[in-house]
Amino acid sequence: MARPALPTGWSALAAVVSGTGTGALRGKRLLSMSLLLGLPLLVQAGVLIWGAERGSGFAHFVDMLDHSYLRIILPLALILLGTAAFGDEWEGGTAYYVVGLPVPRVTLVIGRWLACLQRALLLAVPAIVILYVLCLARHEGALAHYLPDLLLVLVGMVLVMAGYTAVFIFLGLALRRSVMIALGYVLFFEGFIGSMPLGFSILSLSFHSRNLIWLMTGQDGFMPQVHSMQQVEPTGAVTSLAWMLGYQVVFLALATWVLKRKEFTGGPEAVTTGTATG
Amino acid sequence: MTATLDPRAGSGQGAATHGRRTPCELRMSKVSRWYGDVLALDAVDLVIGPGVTGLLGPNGAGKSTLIRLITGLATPGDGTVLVDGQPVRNNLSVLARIGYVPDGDGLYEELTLRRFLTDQARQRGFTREAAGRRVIEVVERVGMTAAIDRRTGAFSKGMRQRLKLAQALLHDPDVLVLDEPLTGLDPVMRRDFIRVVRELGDEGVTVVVSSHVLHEIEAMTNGIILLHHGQVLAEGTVPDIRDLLDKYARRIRVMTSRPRELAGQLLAHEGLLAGLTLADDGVVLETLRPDRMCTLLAELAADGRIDITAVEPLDEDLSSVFAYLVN
Repeated sequence: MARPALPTGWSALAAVVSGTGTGALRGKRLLSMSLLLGLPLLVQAGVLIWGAERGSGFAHFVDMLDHSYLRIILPLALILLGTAAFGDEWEGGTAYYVVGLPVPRVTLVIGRWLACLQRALLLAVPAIVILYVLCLARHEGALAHYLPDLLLVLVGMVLVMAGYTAVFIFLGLALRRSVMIALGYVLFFEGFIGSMPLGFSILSLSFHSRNLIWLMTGQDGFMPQVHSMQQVEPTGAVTSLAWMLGYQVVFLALATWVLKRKEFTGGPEAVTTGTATG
Repeated sequence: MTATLDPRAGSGQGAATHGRRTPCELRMSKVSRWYGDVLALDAVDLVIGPGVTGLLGPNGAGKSTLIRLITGLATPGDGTVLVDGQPVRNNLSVLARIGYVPDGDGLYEELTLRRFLTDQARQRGFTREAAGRRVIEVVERVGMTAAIDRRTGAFSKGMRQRLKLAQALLHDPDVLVLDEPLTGLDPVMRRDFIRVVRELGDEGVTVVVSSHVLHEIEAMTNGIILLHHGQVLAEGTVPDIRDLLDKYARRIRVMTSRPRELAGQLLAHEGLLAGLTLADDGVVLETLRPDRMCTLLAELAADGRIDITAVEPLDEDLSSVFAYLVN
């Protein structure tokens, strides 16, 4: 048998994306993520059924999106996927089947990031579209009228999800209790600091995602609080876009750096204790 | 502390029989590795060539650490680990030549055997079609064709071991490293596994197989490396090790309902007994001539003078070997 040439470039990336989907990102994670993403839909369906007047319209859709998906649900759901992308391999004793591959480490990281993002989008985009339909179904012509805004919202969502995924992949590789730390990051840094009317909120992904969607759609529901209180000069769309892309590049580079240095010293026991096993 | 055995003999039985394959040499120079305050490997120097080489040592000897360094999963604290002159860690061209059967049971349990192996093959550079063909070949080689579309989560321990071997063989490695591969295998699976390992050694693959059981290694190779407390205690062939053992009295337990009579019979043969302990259900004897002693016991049992119900050598396990060598 002729040994195949070393996998490189797009073919290597495609193989990693495909292999990751069936490996690390397993059914239970996707089920938990689906439940999380489905919660606002259940609420909105209830609103639709019981016919509350205030609970509909595009402004309501923006509120729901901002307060549920953007601030809480998407980051939480992405913690499940991102931290598992590599972290589960070490905890489950399957790391060799990843780090033993003759694939550039950066390709492994980007491939797994894309695989996570692909799965997250497959669940999140339909959920957001369904929410849009539920919110606007009772308003004649609204569904078609706001469609361009919905597309812009989705673009912003993709960007913020890509950033969160990169952060959580890095945390999953670098830390043992990555889920707890990622939760702390989401609740404290993104949720609390990112929403505060303070200058340093511009360090958060949540600030830039809301700012970008606000500037693209003109929907004030997305306007970051720091702007609404006019405490700082409004941040431009290009700046927010650069921040969000920067988040992705920086955290993927950090994840690659960690992966190159991270060792596999055996099964779950050896990982947690760091002791020799014979 | 290294015993005086032939240091070149560790290359194993397949060294002279490799065919089309380019021989691949593993070389470790002054390799040390700590885990916190624990010294897992202590200035290990090794050269391993094509063929099967057994890595023997009791639990905690440093076998798994050494294997992780060879496979690039860990970094030496000191020294160098080279495969054909190149460092292993994060070296893609070297990783492409190494196959590894890990000792852990971690698998992607929801995948079928075919899907797992195909994913691995694709990530190792096989095209979709070539991956499909190669998966069928390796699955056939390890005797798992009937299970190819079953979920790996439902596999027994033995099937998992064979799956790991199939995974390690996918890319036709020049170096194959197996960490305690016979653990949990039934006798038939064990025989088949040993056959595959021997074949690979004969094909010129550099095979390193670890175990803490001497007879397991003996079934696969003549060339062994003894590790103890992170050091290479001895390198050589199994007969070398056995010769070394012959300098020491061997203990044998003989089960009988008449231990005093048996002791009397044995004491009548001058120079055969080095020591004897009586028990209610038999004797534990020590001898420098175990072969002659076994013949005598067989004779005694055969002519009906003593009812011998069992004869059990007590020094065949590896810890005894190490006890002798260390002392």
